[in-house]
Amino acid sequence: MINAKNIVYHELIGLPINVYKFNNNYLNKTGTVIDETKNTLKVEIVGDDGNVSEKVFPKKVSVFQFKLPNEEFVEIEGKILLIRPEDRIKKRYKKI
Amino acid sequence: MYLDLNIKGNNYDSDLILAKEANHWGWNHISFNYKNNNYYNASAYLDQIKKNFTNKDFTNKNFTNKDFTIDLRCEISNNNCNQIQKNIRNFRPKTKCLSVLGGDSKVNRVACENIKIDILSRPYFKRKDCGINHVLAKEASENNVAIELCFKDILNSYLSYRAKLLMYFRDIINLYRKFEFPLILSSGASSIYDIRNPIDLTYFFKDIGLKDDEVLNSISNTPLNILKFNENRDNLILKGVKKIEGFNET
Amino acid sequence: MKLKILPPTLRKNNRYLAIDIKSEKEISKDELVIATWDACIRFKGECETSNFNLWVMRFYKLKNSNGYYHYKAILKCQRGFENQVRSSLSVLTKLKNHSISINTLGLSGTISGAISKYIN
Repeated sequence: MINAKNIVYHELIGLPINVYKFNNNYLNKTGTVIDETKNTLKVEIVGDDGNVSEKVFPKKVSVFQFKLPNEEFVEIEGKILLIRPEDRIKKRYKKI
Repeated sequence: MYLDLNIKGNNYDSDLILAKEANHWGWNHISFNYKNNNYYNASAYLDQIKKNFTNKDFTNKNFTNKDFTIDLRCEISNNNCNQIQKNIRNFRPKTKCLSVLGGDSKVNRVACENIKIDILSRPYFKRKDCGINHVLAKEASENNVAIELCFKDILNSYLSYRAKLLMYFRDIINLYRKFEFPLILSSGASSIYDIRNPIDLTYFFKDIGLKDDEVLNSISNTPLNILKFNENRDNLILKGVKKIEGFNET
Repeated sequence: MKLKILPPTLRKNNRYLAIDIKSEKEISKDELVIATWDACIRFKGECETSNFNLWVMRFYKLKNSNGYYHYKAILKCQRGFENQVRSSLSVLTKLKNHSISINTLGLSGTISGAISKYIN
């Protein structure tokens, strides 16, 4: 199952997301992930007046927060996800 | 805020005397330094020492400092690199502050390359050069390892040995300006005659060659950042990934 | 194992002093090192001496004549502090209750330049 340890290897399309920071400004736009490329994440946002819009965020300068199906919340910096989604499975991440 | 992360701890009586003296002179935070053998004994009587400094008696003239906190620090000193890795794995989840005693060139290298260590103290200990070159400085700035300059070494020496120690301090400060690793200044006191005023210490290090904002950073900001970062260490999973409560909205 | 040498932009810049020593009794290279550090610390203090970066590079013994021992040596010091080194070395008079006197012959940027100009 998805948990906090294997979210970096897992598929991100379909998870609820909150774009927390963009270029050191606090943004807080919530939505769900639609598409993913090497450098960007495409997010669908439902506005207050019911309008549905799609926005594209670059990964390099933003900080994302995901909500997992088992009621956990994880915050990930975008610069460690700078890799194609099909290659993200075999990448080694730095321990802390 | 003045923080001193290196005061040698021994037993309950001497710790109480040192803590009272440091409170009298104006330090805001103290960390007692224990080797990894005696660490568990020290955590038993830490609460009793803290009870002497509660906020109840404001009228008591002995206590000039009302916001005064005490903590513990674990120091690993070994010549074998494999033993050091084992001790790091044992003690990292149990302390807020973990440090390695430098001196041997292999030990310095292992400490700078490890991301789980907070402080490398005294890299010039028993050496004929300053202990750090540009390779180690670059790795220390990548892995966020702080390097500590200890005041007690200067008190223990005189004449030409003291002049050589000041030369090693200047070498480390030159590398600090170029590579920007964190730098910590501390007193390293072991008896009541070694404790000094924090303002006297700042003027001593200004005389060596550090500038005003660099000294302020090394005495107050960098130790604070170390303690704050280690409070959240349970929630950190990988570099850049951490657990939070809910979607933050500010 | 020795540490790797610093790159040339981070190294300290040095100058080499050629000095001439006359003493009453025999002196070895180690005693000269102790004598120069003592002279600088007594005159200038510990804080200033830590700037000098003193090292003894070469030590030569000449023929003794007229009852005193004659030596020549080459000293390394940091660029910008040679005047202070020269003045503090000239004030030294005694080493272990025997008279000694130090004079500087000249200043150079390389060791071989100092040897060819002032010693040969």
